Amino acid sequence: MPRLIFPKAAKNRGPGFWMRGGNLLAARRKFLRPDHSTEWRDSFPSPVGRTSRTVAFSELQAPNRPNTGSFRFLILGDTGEGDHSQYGFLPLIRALKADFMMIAGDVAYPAGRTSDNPELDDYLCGFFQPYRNLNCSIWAVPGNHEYYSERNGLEFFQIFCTESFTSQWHQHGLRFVCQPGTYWELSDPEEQTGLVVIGLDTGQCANLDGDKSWWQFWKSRPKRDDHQHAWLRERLDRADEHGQKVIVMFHIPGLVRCEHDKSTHMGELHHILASHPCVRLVVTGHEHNFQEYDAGQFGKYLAEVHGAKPFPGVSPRYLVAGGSGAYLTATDFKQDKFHCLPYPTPSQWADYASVGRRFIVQIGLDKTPIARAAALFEKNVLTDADAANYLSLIMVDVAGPVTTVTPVFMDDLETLYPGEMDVDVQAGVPPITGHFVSKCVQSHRSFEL
Amino acid sequence: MVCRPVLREVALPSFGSPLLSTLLALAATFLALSIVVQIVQEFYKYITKSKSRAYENALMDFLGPWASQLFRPGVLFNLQARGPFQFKRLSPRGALLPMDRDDLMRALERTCSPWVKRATDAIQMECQLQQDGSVGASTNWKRFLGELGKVEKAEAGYWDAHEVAILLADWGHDWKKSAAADESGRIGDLIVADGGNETRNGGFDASELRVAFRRRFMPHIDKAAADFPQFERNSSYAYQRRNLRQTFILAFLLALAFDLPFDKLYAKASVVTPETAVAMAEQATIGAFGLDYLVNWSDVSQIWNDGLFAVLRHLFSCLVTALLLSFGAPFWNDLTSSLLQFQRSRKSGAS
Repeated sequence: MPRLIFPKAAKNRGPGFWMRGGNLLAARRKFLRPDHSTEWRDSFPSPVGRTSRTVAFSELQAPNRPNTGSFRFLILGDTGEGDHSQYGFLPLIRALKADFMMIAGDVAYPAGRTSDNPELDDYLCGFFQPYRNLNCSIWAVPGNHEYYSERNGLEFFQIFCTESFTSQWHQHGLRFVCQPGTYWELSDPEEQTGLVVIGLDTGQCANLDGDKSWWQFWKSRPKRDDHQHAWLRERLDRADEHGQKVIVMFHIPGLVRCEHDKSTHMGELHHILASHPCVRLVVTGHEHNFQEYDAGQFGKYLAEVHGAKPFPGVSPRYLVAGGSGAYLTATDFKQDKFHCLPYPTPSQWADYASVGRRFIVQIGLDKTPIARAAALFEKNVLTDADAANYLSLIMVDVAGPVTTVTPVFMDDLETLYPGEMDVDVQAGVPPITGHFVSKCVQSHRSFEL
Repeated sequence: MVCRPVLREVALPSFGSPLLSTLLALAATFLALSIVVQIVQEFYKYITKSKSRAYENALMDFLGPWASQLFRPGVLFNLQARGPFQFKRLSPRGALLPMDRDDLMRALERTCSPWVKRATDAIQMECQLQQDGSVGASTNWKRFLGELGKVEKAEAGYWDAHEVAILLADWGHDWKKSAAADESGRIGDLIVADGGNETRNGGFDASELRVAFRRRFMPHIDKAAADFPQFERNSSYAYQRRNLRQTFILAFLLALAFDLPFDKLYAKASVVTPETAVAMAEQATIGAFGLDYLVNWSDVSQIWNDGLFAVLRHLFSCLVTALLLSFGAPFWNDLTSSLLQFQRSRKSGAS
């Protein structure tokens, strides 16, 4: 068994961290505060020096790197609060040697706060310190937890979309490339690859349609995000015209746990996705595990739930990929209406979670403080605060016109380091050897766009 | 036929009029209570560093979460004052008092990364030297460029240095990648002109470079500088609002704690004799009235026995007291003086 050495910063951010009163309240602001994400988003100033939301892939790659049209990037989701499970994923992230990374939301648990007290700064504890010295650029879309902040997501905007926090990025050995906003497009102007990645902002509660239930009479109607819809439609029209293939990434999924999440209101978004054959892959987060839906399942979802008519045979694949460091949530849900391939598998989940935790999941209290309290008594949690088990990410390899998407699964950090040795998880020392890396890379599940 | 308006004689309150006496006693009471509230408030403001906190909040509203970097321990150490109980400067924290535009901009520049700060200082010095008639790059500038080229990739400030180097390369300060530089991951060796004394673009215009540099690395600071007048207005407004809020809350608590609802104060003032009212106005202190005049604790317990409506009525009446006390001691002082003057003028007219 290797002896895992975690940095001091990873301490005190395990399950117990979520039981503190301030964090409990902050992480549940959606119940306390009406969702006005569209207005909040519109109030963010225009990023300085950017006139368009489109940026070339080459800007994110290391400078002076020859533009050969070949590169690799990773998509992570729900990266964690700076606990052991987030740090435990770092050796594998380093071993994959990506040119840049993207995070599909929930970068800063529990509430996207910045503070003059480092221990209360969620970005410092959950983003800058864990990814210290990765020496690459990282882009992200905001998740619901970023919008729970005191200033309604302005913290995320200033960190990722302005120069204000450049010194933080550089002090932590991360390359800063200013995002053109909370939703953006990465493309290849030289059209060597034909790939486009679009990141969308689903706000605090995924209410892009501006819906309000009839019984919520005390709430004012949220604004519909027409700007984002129009922008997305225009970019996808353009991609269709140029024959490009598009990966769309956003945080809160409509299709999750093999059913439609009725609390989301993203009908217009799904209609737009269905009407553009250029969309080949949709990546979401929010749920802390990995779920893979094939094109048929997602096409069925678009048709049956949203009444959209996708082009026959060209529905995109759909991935829920929020298992990149945050605490795990159950995968033993019923697969009645829709079907997916989850990770961890239901049997792995049964092995991982305690009986009490599984009971809590069964009665619908997963992702609540009760589940976190139960996690305190799980065997792995007791030994390691929040163990790095069953973590996942998506690896995208671009080689000219061929784009390959591969899920990467890490069952257990210990299996990557067999034998007695000291492992500095943050520095990734000693590095994982290629043989063990290939154990995690699910080549048999990879697919081309 | 000319219609003349009929002037109806208005009966003004005269000396000895119960209304004037009541008003005078009431104004004197509110003046005394306002002074108490103000004393308590000043003490509270001192203890809680109210001015500093209001300023910090205004800065957060103005700059956004970025401003939190300013308040990190050590960033503005020498600009911060000690707190009320900070007899020794053991903690790096302190109270930040309002700054003028230039001081604030200099403070914001401290949040920039080390290489950006170093480059700013070096460019600033070049500007001064060029203004003094110096031609070509100074030794200080060349030393800075040389050190910039030596930053290695493993170092924490590499990406800063790299971005600075890219901008300076656009201004003719090039770095070449030697084999040694490649191996160590350094930015590179500075290209020097024949003779090795000058950078390739030795005659650059430092003031133009300064503008370009700030636009690239400090656009947020320049924007803050441009909006500073509005910030000052906002900050001043926020402080006034905070003071008013504190006054109102303290006044309400005082009214609740000492059972001072408006209706009771009015009832007491209405039975005061004219001579007592004048005496109260002349020495508007609680001591002059006697606490018995204001407070009757037995009434408080009675309210709770009278049912919900009585409690609500009491709370509303206390709110009215708080609202009137929020006008502040200067207002009640002016009103008391005016009424006293009026009273005296009526008295002398009558005699």
